[in-house]
Amino acid sequence: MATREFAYLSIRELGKLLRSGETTPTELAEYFIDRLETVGRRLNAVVTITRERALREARLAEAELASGLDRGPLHGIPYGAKDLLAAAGYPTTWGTEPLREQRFDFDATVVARLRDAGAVLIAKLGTVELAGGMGYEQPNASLTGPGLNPWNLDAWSGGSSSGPGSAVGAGAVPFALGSETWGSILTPSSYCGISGLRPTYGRVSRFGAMVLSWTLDKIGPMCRSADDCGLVLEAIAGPDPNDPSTLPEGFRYRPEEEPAQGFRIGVLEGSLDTVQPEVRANFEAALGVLDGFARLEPVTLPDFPYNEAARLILSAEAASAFEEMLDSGILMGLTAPEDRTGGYAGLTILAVDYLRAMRIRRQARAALSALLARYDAIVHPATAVVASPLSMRFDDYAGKGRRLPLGSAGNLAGLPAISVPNGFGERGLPTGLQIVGAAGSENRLLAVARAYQARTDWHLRRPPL
Amino acid sequence: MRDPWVTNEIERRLASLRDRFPDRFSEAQWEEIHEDLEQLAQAAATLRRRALGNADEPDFIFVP
Repeated sequence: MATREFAYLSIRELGKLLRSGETTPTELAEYFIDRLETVGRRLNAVVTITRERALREARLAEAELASGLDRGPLHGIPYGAKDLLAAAGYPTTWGTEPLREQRFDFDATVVARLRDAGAVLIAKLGTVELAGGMGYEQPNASLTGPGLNPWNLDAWSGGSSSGPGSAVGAGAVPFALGSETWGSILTPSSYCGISGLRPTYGRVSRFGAMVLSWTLDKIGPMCRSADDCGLVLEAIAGPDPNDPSTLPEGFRYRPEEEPAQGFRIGVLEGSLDTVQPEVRANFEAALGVLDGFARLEPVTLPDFPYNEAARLILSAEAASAFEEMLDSGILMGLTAPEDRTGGYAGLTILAVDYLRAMRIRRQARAALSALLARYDAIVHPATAVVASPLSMRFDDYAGKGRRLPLGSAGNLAGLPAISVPNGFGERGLPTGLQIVGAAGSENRLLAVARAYQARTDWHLRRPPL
Repeated sequence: MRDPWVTNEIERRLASLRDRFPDRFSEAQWEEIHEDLEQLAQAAATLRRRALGNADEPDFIFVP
């Protein structure tokens, strides 16, 4: 096989090549490292190539597979991790210039679990500084520069998991780990034309990850397809004594058959007036596909101040998590000017205001749970707009209404969601279909997403690099 | 029209930050912080308009 053909293969396809002897873990690691050095760096997607570790893990995988020890579908598959996840001995910058040399002597739980599954860590990938927690308002907010979109180099990759988004989109890694507090997996996945899964809160351990918000942070897979997301989620999910928020049960990826009577899907139609025309058209076209295997019903979100509650909770928890850094002045060295001041207001939030937000959150979570009990999933556009031009501030491009309510509602309630590609909008940029389900319903969400991808080829398109 | 309480609250919080970080920021940066404070105060005011009862607990449980 010509090496060029590795770039856009799925995890299962790469696994078949490994097990048939058509390639080796070392060849894959070297191939994708080379692709990161060329394509990935051009997109500002790379912080650190973990070459020594990658080749060591690849050689081990090679020996194990040769001896008949098969650790499963990720064995020998290269991947990248957002640079807020600790990897022993390597810089973990959290996307910031002041922490360029920060290192931990242990692996984040998710990195350790992928190591145990035989996956090969080849890079730490770009992130918006401090995962965007200081309120960045434009793309240039990372020590590696603005994340560039593989579909249009004059457009942003999305954030805060910018490196995972553009590296997977460009075929520079087979999959990556990202994180989401409020939109940071789904947005870059939608913008870069890939499939990204935000797991249920507590499904995946956050130990060894930078804290932005204890009650909102989630770590999840960013991949070429929904099926790949399921494979990666199974490897990283499960209880962890180092993270008290983790759910007690593990997660088994069980690709579900499509129910004979079809899925029951709620269509969230509110907010469609605020999205770009192409985003709306692609969403409506996706509904036409979903209608072929699901019963669609219009739904409305329970009436809660989702955005305001999420803003208060995130700002208060981030101010607490970063209080020492705010006090020290180290954040004055951040890249985006607005990030040098953006965390300070959170220091003044009243305890009663934070608690009020958490009390409303409980009501909202119960109401959303009741709504989702009637459906296999709810669908909506993943983002209101395609990726903004590099030169524009987000509000100037998308308006202040760019935060769709399902994003804050889903994150407040800890609900799983996936974004899958569903077409292209202005400037040749991808759009995404967001599929949200009840807490713990990842297998059902993945089944809906897989059914959609079985009938479309948006996830198979390749950017013009 | 903005609630006068919100206006006063923003100024009070800005003053507390100026006391805590007297030499940290330029006036232009203090203006940015003022805007951030306004957003948070408006969000809090929105949440305060939602009725809650005495028994409405926050969304976390203390486990001893």
